Order: sequence, then structure tokens, then C-alpha cells
Amino acid sequence: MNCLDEGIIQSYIDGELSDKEMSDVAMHISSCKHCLAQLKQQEERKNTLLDIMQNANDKVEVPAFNVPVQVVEIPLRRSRVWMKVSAACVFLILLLTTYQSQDKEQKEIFFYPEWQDQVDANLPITQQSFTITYTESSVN
Amino acid sequence: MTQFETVYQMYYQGLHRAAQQMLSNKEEAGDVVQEVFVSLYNRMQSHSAEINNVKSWLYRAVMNKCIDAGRSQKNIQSLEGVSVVAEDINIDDNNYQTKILQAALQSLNEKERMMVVLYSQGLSYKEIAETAEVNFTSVGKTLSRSLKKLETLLKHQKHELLG
Repeated sequence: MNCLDEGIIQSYIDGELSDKEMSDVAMHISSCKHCLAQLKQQEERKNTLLDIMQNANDKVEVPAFNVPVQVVEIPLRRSRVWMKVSAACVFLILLLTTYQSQDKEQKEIFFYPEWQDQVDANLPITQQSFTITYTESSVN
Repeated sequence: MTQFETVYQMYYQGLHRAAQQMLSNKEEAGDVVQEVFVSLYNRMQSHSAEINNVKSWLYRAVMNKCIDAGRSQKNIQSLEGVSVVAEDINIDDNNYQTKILQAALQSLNEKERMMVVLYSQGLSYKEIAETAEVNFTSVGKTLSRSLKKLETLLKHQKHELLG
């Protein structure tokens, strides 16, 4: 077996190899001074660094969790009675409006111009005389 | 106690610590974690799509928010190959170790930082892979590289800050 790479040694230290790989590595290390030295170095590095990292920061108290405010959509509860009353009101308004418009008398006015003399096209209209009559009739 | 309250009590501190390490800012970390719990609460209330692994979901949500927030942060400027200088990293905190760690973490790229932070919170490789959206088989290798890089950066930052 060739010498182990650092990744395998690291995985061995962390116990992240399969059972077979663990026993293979252990067997190799027992007979290889170079890999044993490497293992010790990496093990020492791991312990030192983890010790520094785990003790570096102050202990943090767990604060109370503030439940986030949620916007809840409340469904509108429409009463069926109110819907019926509303529909009836709309119908009544429409009915009354139609009735009132029918009740009003509508008239039509017609204007008829009647020229007194013959029209002179060269004269302005203000100097000519004509009468306007109008008739009134009911539309309904 | 409701299911939500149980989850809240169980994961709040770990998520807050992870967010703080991602952002180097305690207040902002608190806001991020609160926002994530609000969205979890709303999700649980509306009975929308079921969450298979709440822990992974929470960490992924926090990490994504931290990355978004981190990109808009102006107080931290990463200079290629040079130490990070954050003007207001826990200015009231006398803990140099924290300052050094925060500066070193900010020098890692987003993926590396995320994986190291998740690893330090005790997540399994499977959970790390799910949260960081990386291949499960590459977790060990990426972690070993990232830890090595972080170790070097810590030494460098220690030298920079303490002289």
C-alpha cells in the first residue's frame, strides 16, 4: 500500500471512513513511520484549531424568539339576507328610475324659416327679412 | 415546547457562533441567525415543502446569508497573500486569540472558511457536504488543506498583531 494522502488521514482521524477503509489505514499506519508522523501532526492541528475556534467567541445567550407578525386575510362573512336585501334595493332603484323617466313628457320642437322676399345672395343675412315659425309635438 | 422551540433552543448557539466566525461581527451574526429562524418559522407555519434535515438546512441558510452579508461588508479588505486588516474587529474585546482567529478566517476563501467553521461546529462530513454543496468524498481533503492553511495564517496573524 502506498503512503496515505492527507485527505484520507483526515477522514481517518474524524472516523469518516468505512469499516474496511478504517482497518486498511490502521494497518498501513502501524507499519509506516511517515504516515504515522503525518497522522500525529494532523491530529494535533485539529485539536489545537478546534480548541481555539470553540473557545474564541463569547458564549451567547439564547434570546427569546419573537414570533413574526403575519398579515392574515380574514375572509369576509357575507350574510345571505343582506345580499338579498341589497339585490332587492338595486332592483327597486332601477325600477323607479325607469318609471320616472317614462313619466316625464318629452317634446320635440321644429323651427321653420320663411323668407318674406326673394333671397338676395349678395346681401348679408342681417339685411334680409324672414320669419321663423316653430311647431311643438310630444314624442311619447 | 413546540417543535420549533426545540429546534431553536438546540441550534441557536451553534449557528450564532458559526455566523460570528464567518462575519467577524457579533451583532450582524445575531441578525442573520434571527432572519433564518424567522424563515424556518414561516415555513413550518405554512406547512410548505418538508425539510429533510433541519440542521443542514439551518446551517446552509446561515452560511448563504453570511456569504451575502460578507460580500457587502466594507470594513474587511482582503489583500492577496497579505494578512487581513479589519479595523473594528471586536474593538472592545481584549481577547487577542479571537482577533487573530477572526483575521485568519477572513483570509480563507469562502468555501474553505465555511467548511472549517462547519467542522468546528461538529457537523459530520455528510452534513458539511450538504451544507457547503460539495462532494462528500472531497470533504476530508479540502478540510485537511484548509486546516493547514488556517494554522499557517494563525501563526502569521499572531506575528502581525502581537509582534
